[in-house]
Amino acid sequence: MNEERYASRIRQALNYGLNDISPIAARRLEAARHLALSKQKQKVPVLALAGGLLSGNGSAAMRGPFHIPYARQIFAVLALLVGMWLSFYWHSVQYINQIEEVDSALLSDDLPPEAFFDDDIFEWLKTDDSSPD
Amino acid sequence: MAKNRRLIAGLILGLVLSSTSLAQPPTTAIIGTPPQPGWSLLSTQQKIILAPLASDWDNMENIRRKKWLGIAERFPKMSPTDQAKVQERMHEWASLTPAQRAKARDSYKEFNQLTPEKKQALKEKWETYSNLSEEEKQQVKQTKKLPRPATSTTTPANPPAETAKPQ
Repeated sequence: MNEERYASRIRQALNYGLNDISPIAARRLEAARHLALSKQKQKVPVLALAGGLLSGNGSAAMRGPFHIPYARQIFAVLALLVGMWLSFYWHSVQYINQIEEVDSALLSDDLPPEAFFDDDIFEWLKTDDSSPD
Repeated sequence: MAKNRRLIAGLILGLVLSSTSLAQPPTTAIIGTPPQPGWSLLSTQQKIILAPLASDWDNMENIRRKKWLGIAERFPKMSPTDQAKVQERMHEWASLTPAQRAKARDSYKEFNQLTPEKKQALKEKWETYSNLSEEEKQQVKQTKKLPRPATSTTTPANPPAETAKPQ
């Protein structure tokens, strides 16, 4: 609470003091304020990862003619989609290799495919009939 | 809350992607397979090897085309006997339903786990079965037993009274 009161008093003192500031000091203060604001603006594009990456120059991307709205979000979605497709592609390569191996062995086996796709027949083929009933 | 929503969305996506029947290729594999060439774009060698599939090729899904192109790559390394068998069975295999192909693959994997003696016994049994008439095959499917060979039939202990009645 004491700090707030102290801050309030300082603010009041500064406000009263405004009337007594010379025009030269006022202009210098104004210039200093503009300089501080311009430096603060330059920091924003540095944080804008997607904008900076897409343009190669962060500050120009935010102010220049090639500014893309929602660039960061678009870039994130594209990266996600590419990542997903790569994962699916890898899965498909593995799956196809697997069935390719089985199919080529199955089709060149001594037993024809008919021996395998009928569940009843294959189960019967597997049973040992040599034992007496 | 947001974390829970993301978790639920992830679970739903996972379920959707994995919710394919066993007979169908996984959705992820279907999405991840790039477009494959049509019949007219195949090389001459590929066309010769895959000739039995010529009429079906353009209607095939990319995933099946890619698999057959892979088999065509393996083809030159096979023995001439195996090459003949593959080409002879190619069309019939492609015309099976996805469920039949999936079943055949599963059974074949199971068959490969058997000992050499059991494999041989199974092959001999198939040989006998494949030489039966259609009626006898149906009988085998119902009774799960091979019909006794005519030479091994002996006079039963109990005479077949019912069959003798009409005479």
